Amino acid sequence: MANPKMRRTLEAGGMVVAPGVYDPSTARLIQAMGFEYLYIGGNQTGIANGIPEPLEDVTLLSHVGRTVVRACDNEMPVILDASAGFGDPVHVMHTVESFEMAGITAIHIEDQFFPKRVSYHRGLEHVVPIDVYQQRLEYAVKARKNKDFLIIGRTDGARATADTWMPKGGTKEEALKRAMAAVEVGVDALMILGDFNREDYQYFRSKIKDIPMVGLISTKTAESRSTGVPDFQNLGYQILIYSRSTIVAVLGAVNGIYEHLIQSGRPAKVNAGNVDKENQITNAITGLERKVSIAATAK
Amino acid sequence: MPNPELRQMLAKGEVFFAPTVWNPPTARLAHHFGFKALYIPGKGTGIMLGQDEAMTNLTQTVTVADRVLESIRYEAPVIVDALSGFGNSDHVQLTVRQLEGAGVSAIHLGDTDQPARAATQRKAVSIDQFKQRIGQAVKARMNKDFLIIARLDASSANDPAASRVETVKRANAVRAAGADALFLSNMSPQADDLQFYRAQIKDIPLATTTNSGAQWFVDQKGQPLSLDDYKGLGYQLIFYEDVIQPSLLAVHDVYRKVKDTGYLPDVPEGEDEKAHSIMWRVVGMEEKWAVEAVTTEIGNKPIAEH
Repeated sequence: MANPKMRRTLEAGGMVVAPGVYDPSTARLIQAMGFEYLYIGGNQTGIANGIPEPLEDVTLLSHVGRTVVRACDNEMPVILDASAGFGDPVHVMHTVESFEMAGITAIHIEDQFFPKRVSYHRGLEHVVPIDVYQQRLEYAVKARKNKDFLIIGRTDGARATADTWMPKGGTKEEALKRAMAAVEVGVDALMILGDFNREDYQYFRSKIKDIPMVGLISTKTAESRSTGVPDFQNLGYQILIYSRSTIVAVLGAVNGIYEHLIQSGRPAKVNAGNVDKENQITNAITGLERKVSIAATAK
Repeated sequence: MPNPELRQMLAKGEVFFAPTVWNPPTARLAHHFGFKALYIPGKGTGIMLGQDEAMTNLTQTVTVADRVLESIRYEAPVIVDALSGFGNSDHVQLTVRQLEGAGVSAIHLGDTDQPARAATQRKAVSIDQFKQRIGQAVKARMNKDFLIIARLDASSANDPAASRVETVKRANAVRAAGADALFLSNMSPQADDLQFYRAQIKDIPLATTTNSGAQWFVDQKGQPLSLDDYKGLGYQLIFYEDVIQPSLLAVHDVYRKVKDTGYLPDVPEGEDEKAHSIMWRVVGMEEKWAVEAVTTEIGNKPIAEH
């Protein structure tokens, strides 16, 4: 079941800060650190499964979603990346039902082509015509069973590749138009993606009233890395998601370990203090006592 | 099919690390570095699944093995911690068939009683039961290249002084039952256990780990032992377990900063780019872009990565 906490928090004007996770270990770690929301991003989850995001399907994401929800004893509202909805309205309805039944609390659905193109990761972001996008979201909203399950309309219209229905390619104005189209069919929140600076975020917020907006924190650019929770809060964005910082930390650490081992022919010496911290983290993740917190772990 | 290279490497006296992997990206990364074998420890699988290793079952273990092997296209031998075979003789047989069928090249089977308890409350089966367990596993395999490694950690269940004798007894018993190699775990890095066991146990490859918790096998300078050191000591297969925990510590440190300040930590210049290129490499992004460049994206110029 969707967790009602997220809707209530948004209605009360509160912030939803959702670090990215992709398996029980990362989810339990974030929960034990005292965060209240989790985000299952497509890119990061794809990488954790050895595939680029556009090759993911509903089964994989539902599996990850329900595994994460359950690992946290159904206590953490989870926001999940539902990509382009995985097809036409009939498929989108199946997508929504699958994620809602898996116990997810919110999903975002975007206007990219389905099937998605892997080349969107190098800037070739194709979006469907606005009416097709709006219909996608209309049926997504129709398909949900419980109002606590939130549908976030995401548009990539700001940086889209030129197509016949958008001859000059994406603009901020096009993204705004698409966001409005999403609002018309009853989405609960908006997510406008692009390589934005603070003025851009301000622009969107000033044009769109009375609906929560999503900010994305990535490690892709220095600007994105350095835009934090206080900044988005000041800008009036209530939902913050971390798209890739978890897998970046994991792969950075693992790469360093393997590299040292293969190059020097011996393990690196491990700081005893790290071992204590690692054991605390492991106990919080694997222990049967779910109330274990690692907030006190040495900083 | 098991990869015959593992048997061949052990027969030739090669010495190698088998680093821990637990999902496709870690498997691809380790494979990319050229490790000669990859290792899926029960502890790693347990942590990933958010449970103590004593709760890990056969299906979960086979699933992780499938994902790892498929992600590296079966190109390197994978060794799986099969715990204690998940039950009695019939379960051991099923364990062998499923993991061999999955394309794993070796499993290690321990002498812990079933059902398993949390590591600190471990109870060992009798020497006869352990011998039977290993014998059953050897009989159940279809292909000689699928190796049965007997794991000996009787030392953690008994008085350390007495356990050396008991461990050697168990080693000889399971060697007679057909084990292909012995994995000596839970040794005390301070003692001369490594030399002692190699001197006492003849004619079978030995495996061990690099550390026991916070304690590492070190040389006289205090450096963790190198492959050459292990070679000198007569150990061939060195499991390197300490990977998933440091990686979660890295995640912890990132979000500790977020929790405390609202901001991601700063990183040295170039580090994000390096991480992103690793990310793309482990999913084969470039190859997929190349396919789209001549199919769905003909004539479209890439703009910027994101």
